[in-house]
Amino acid sequence: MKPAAFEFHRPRDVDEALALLVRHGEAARLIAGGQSLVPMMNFRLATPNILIDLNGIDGLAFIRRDGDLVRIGAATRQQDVLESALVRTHAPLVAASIRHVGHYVTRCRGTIGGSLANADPASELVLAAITLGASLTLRGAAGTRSVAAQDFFLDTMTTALAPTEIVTDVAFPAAPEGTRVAFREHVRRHGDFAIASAAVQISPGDGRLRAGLGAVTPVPVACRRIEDAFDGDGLRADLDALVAAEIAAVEILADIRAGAGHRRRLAAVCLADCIGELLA
Amino acid sequence: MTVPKATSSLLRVEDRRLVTGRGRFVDDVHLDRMVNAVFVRSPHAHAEIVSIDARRAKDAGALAVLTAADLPFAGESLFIPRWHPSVRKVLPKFLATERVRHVGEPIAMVLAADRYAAEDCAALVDVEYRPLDTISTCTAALAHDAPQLHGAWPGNVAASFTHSVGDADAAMAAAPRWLVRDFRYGRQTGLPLETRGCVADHDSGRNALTLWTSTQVHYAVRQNLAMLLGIPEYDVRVVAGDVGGGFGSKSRPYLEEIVVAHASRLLRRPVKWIEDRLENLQATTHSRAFNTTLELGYDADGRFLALKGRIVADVGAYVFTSGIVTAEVASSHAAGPYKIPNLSVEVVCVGTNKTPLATYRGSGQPEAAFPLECLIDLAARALGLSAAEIRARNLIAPADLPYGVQSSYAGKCSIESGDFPAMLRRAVVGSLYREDVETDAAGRRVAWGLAVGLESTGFLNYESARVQIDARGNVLVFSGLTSHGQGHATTLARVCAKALGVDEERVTLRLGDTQLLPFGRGTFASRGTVVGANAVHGAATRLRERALVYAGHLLQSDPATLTIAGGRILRATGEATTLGLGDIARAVQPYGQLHEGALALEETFIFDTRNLLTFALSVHVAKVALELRTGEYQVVDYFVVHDTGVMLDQKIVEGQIIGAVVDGIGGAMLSEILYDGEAQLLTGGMADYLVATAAEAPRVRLEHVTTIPTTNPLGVRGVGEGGIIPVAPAIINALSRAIAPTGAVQEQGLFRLPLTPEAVLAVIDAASSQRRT
Amino acid sequence: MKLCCAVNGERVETDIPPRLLLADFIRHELKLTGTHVGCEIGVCGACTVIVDGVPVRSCLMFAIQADGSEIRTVESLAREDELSPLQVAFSRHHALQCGFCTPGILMVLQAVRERNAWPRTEKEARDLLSGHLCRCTGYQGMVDAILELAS
Repeated sequence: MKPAAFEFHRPRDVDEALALLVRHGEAARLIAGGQSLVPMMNFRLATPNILIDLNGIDGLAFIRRDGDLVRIGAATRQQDVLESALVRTHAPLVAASIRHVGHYVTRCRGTIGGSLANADPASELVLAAITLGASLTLRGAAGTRSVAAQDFFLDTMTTALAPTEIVTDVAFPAAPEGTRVAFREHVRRHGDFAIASAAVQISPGDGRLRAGLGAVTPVPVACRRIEDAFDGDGLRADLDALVAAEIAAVEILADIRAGAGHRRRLAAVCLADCIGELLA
Repeated sequence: MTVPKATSSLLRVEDRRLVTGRGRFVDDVHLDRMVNAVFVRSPHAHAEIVSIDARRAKDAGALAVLTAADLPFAGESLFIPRWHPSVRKVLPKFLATERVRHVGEPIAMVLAADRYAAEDCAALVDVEYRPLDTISTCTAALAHDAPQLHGAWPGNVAASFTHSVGDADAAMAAAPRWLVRDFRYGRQTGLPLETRGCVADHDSGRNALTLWTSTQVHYAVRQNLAMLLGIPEYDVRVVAGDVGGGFGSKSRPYLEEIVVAHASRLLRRPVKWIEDRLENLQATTHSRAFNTTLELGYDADGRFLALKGRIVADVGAYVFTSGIVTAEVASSHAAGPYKIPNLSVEVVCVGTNKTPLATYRGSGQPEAAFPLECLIDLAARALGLSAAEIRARNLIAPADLPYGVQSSYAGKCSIESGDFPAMLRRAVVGSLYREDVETDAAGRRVAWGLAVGLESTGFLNYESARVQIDARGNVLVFSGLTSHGQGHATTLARVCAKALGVDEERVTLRLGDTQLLPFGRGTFASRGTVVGANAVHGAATRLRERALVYAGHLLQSDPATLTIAGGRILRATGEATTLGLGDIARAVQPYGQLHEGALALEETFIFDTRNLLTFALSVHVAKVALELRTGEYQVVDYFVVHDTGVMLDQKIVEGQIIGAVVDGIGGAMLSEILYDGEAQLLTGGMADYLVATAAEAPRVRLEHVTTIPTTNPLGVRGVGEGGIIPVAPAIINALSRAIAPTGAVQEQGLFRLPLTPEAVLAVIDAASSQRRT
Repeated sequence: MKLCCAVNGERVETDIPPRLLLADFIRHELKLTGTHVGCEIGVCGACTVIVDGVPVRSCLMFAIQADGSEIRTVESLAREDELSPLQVAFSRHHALQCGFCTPGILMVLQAVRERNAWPRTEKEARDLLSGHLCRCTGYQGMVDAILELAS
């Protein structure tokens, strides 16, 4: 399994990368970590004529506090995000989710932007982004725009990213002090693609609960019923009923890893467990 | 930290080169002018080939595109040493011509400078297919209106036979109690980390061929190359250097080896073919894939009276060179280590549009142990006996030895040593096995399960060895075995050193090369230690005796008063002499004073098992924690009591057992080759065909019990496969205890491998709803 | 395309096609065959090497992407006949049998040692190892070697 031939470019800055995208259109693909793209290229499921390597661009890998946001450069390696004290402190749900992404070696090379742009239904980072209401910065030849996660992720492996745009960073709302998080996923083996996952964050400071369900739908879903039922201390309705309502409201995936019925059961368990853990 | 060259702190002589990346696996071979081959393989499960057009591939720069028309041996097949008499022989063609019958069947071979270019060209080979109706299950295959795979397989039955002992029908009819259940063993494969591959170098000047190949059976490969390519065997050299795992998936010659060798002859250049992982899942033989119905007749005291079984084996699109050996082994060992005087197992081997079936670690023994050990636990529960007690009442005991076992693949064999009941007792005590169910801190239900596995080792007679001593007293050993992780170069050198009386560091062992010895077989079926080590032992022992006779001449002494230690000839009193083995060698060689025509001080020996199998028992105990809400479970503790006879190296023995246990845990929990309704392969890579990682593996605790078999001079038992045989039933017995299914349907819900959380949850649901009503 | 890099401390300057995978460059151009390929999708870990101090799956990286980088493979771990403590520990604990998966695991362990991320418990060791498949050993010897060197 070897890739088909392509022309390789290593732009030195974002403008150069964008110019290449504009010039080559659909024939071009961006490569950052390559942990998702190269397997597809090895199988010749992806056969770009032009490969644009983002690894040579300075300034795309960073982790910083930006007012009440935690902003992470798209080319930041997943393992660096995981090891970041800033992320652990101010975006704990991101840290909790990224622990489940692949394995140590794939995290050392894979990027946060790559995982988000890939938009796999099972992606833990996409779940965190949806749950927290992150926003992604997209830069194109025409300019820069900020897109909310709920508007960015459209369908399985499909995002609002235009063919001539690059994700440059993702910003998560900084977690207020005292925030507690829970992230759980069900997998066949440690590090495998999630079959069902849940991410929950409770911030006593602003009295908010955020909850998201992942890997069971084409795009992770924010659990609005549960969020709305949180009164600052606990839930105004029965947890199991709320969880059931969230799951009943979406069409659950079935694939080689698990059927829809089983996914439904797993989703209920991990979502309820996350909330239960935080409300205990 | 400095480690001297001839270090003794390394466990094995193989380790130095392997940890420094200096192994020589087949893809590491690089030869001048070497080109690369890629096979064009069928994307269809069942289709007629209308036409093959290689023009675009050639225009794109392919050095050659071979089809069946280019193979002089196209009308022949790989040589089969032995078939079960009921097999209707249909082997695949080297390159398909009229029809393809499974996804991945090879149709053409493309040669180019490198693999990348070869794949480019392969994509340009235009094959026109006319798809045919596919058969994706045994049920579909046996339906009266099913498509026919082969004219030679009426009703898509490739083979059928019944293995019986005593009168099972009468005994079952007379049995006061009986249980019958269905068991489903999914399709699995050895999945060695190194895929198959070969490099062929045909020397057109001498019509001699060298083939490096990742194989367990280099002599069988040589035999086939010689026959099919018309080259004398002595001019065919097959080298199995470092092999990255075999597990039974490389214990046969393959089509590709012959075609690649022919290509080298045709092109007058070395040709390399390395299987990629997708090909490995499509074209390397599969295994397991049995549906078994097993019925046990027993009495109120829990004594087994009769066993009746029906195995439907999904053998795939062809019967490959190993025939239906796993079905033969499973039926022969249906009763495992128990005294069941009446048994009858009917076997039906059914053809489907899938990759052919052959061996994989255990080769029919896990397939036999799974239904039997699960059924025994049910019988225990029905009688209110413990799982250990019912087994204790039926295990072959020392008083029953020698106990005859009739097998179809190895004739009449005998269990002549071992104390099985004692091992069972040790396992129960050592593991802390109990039958009450607990709840752990995480709320999971925790239960124990046990199972017993009987392994037949040392199969297939004859293995060769030559021991040679040089003028400096260095010892060179040649073995007919191959090595794919077993450490044979270390353990067999040690056997030689002990038998000869030299230090281990002075012994070098070479294997995996047909040029070393004119006859050999290789490493498979847990035979390496039994036959390979005994061959070395035989040669070294005889060489020692002869050396002492020569020493006697040189010292004018009675050989009986001499001995050898540290490579030196000593008097029986321990007093040193002036002679070492090197001196003897020099004396025996040309120009030496004892020379009588010998080329060197050497001895060649072939070990004859006299067709005796050496059996080995193990008792496994698994502690499993089950999450009731999701069906997810984890093996949290695992204990094995194993009798391997004399251990040539304890750590190596333990490594074989632990490796096999973890392989079995993956096989119980995760591994399945899946096809869809059109017989399209769904599990085409390691992200879909799942095996255990370190996170799924528990720490395996071992206890060794040693009894000495009388079947071979060294008193060893093979150990390569025993560790996998009872793993799945041990785990399922634990889960069954944790869930307490209420009825046959629920019990059978657990009798499927791999046992997924989804399946477990379905049983949990059914059991709890049953209890509520 | 022109590729300039350092491999195990030696400067390499050569011309390669962009699609040549780093694993194949190492194995077939440089003939450093200690790095192995087992799955070509980054799952088995046998191909793991160190690039600029970071462990990477060399089957998921194009050699041209390593232009200007320092690559280290399993061949860099020992000095002549002097094996590293990790290599010795692997042998003594029987952490390898066929040896095919071993180089990738040795390299990830070398990387975590350099990055001060050595596993300190059995669970941490198994978590790290879960990114590497082995069909022979059952992983127990590897865990023992890791824990011995943790102290």
